Amino acid sequence: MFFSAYIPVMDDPSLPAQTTPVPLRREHRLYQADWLMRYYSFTADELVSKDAPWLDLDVDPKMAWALSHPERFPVEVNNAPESQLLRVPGIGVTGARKIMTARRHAPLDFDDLKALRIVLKRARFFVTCRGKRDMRTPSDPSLIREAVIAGEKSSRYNATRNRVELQPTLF
Amino acid sequence: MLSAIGITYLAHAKPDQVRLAAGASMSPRFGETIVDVPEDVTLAERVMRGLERRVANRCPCARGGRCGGGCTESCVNMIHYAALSDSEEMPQAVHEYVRLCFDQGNQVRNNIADPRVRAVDDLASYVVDECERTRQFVRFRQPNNGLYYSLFRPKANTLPATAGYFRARMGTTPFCMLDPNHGIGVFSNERIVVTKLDPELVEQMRAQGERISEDERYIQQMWRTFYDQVSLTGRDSSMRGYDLRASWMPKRFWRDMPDMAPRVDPATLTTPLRYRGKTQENNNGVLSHAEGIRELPQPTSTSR
Repeated sequence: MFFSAYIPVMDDPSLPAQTTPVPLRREHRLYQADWLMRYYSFTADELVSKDAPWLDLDVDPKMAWALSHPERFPVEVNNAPESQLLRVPGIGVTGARKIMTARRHAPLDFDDLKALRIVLKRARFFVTCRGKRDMRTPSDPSLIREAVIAGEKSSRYNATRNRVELQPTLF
Repeated sequence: MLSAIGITYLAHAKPDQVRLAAGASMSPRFGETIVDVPEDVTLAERVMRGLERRVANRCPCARGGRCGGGCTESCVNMIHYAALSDSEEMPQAVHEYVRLCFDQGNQVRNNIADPRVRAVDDLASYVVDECERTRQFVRFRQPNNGLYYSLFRPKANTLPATAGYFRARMGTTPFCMLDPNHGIGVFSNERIVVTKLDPELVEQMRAQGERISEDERYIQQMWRTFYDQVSLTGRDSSMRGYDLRASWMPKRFWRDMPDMAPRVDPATLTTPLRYRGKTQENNNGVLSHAEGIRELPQPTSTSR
């Protein structure tokens, strides 16, 4: 399955202007949503709904789902089932498999998670190790949401895409 | 390296007082003395067999009593890949990992968060990624309209691991590959040979490979034209804000890839005989099926 961003190729009054920026970020979010449904057992209703029919451009779909379901977190890495681990942003299929292998040997710490190449920048808001969460993260869901959104908005990817996509079109 | 590890065991050396390093890059730290250890293939094989048996003992992934690589992160296969790495810390990392394997046996399979296991796993992952880049970005050319030749400069010693892939791709076509940084040559004709070369031979091969015939220049420009024509104007770095090629096709390979070389004015190129419908014997005649071959289009400016 392919998603292809609209590329303006001809001038016509009923088509978008030739200078319209190509919506590559929306294409990226669509691919991310597609993979979530294929490999992470998400359903389409979980990613979009009647109230929020569009995928968020600044925040990827998995993180958006995690922020809107704070009751499902935090997840304890040392005894959660794989399906719960897969729902944590920053833990992918490989990361979940590594966690399940490593915790058979010994209980895991945040240093161990870092050694296993889990993306702690995203996952630290949503996991606990041996019952303790990362002390630098807030525990209130609204504060977590603020911290995550501020982080995503200032990321280089979003800054570059905003610069290219939101530049004013010339008429 | 394995024989050196075997010698540390035979000598009953205390493991925290021994540091392995490759001879060429040896620089002793404060309080260290250098001990030259000869290579012994028999001892190395004995260490490897013992390691495989120790790790496979009561391991569910074992095949025939040995570490069979049945699981994706095989404990012993990691060492084979890590050994191809260029890193200076590699011998000591492998030394500590082998000692850990002998201590823990099949438990090391689950102990993947341990820093000693992580060190070897990181080295092995890098080598595996570099092998994949080797398979993707090696480009062959015909310097003398005969043998296919490729020059490639990987950051790990990947040619021994990927030579089989190229043999399967090229089949019976003779080819040779050169890695000047590691001094490795791959030669394939009826059989394939991977060998370490002297620096003089490396230089000789490299100089011979630099000579480029007119036909080869034409064909390289043909590939560049194809590369430019398949790109889409809406999806390049100006629209994206960054160049995707920089992450998926590292710039250090671009100097040896004709796709990324500067575009050449097609007017300066001569079409090879075989594309003009002429043969060597019949230089005056034109075969009917070759009529209507178009000249190469001008290079477009949107490519780079």
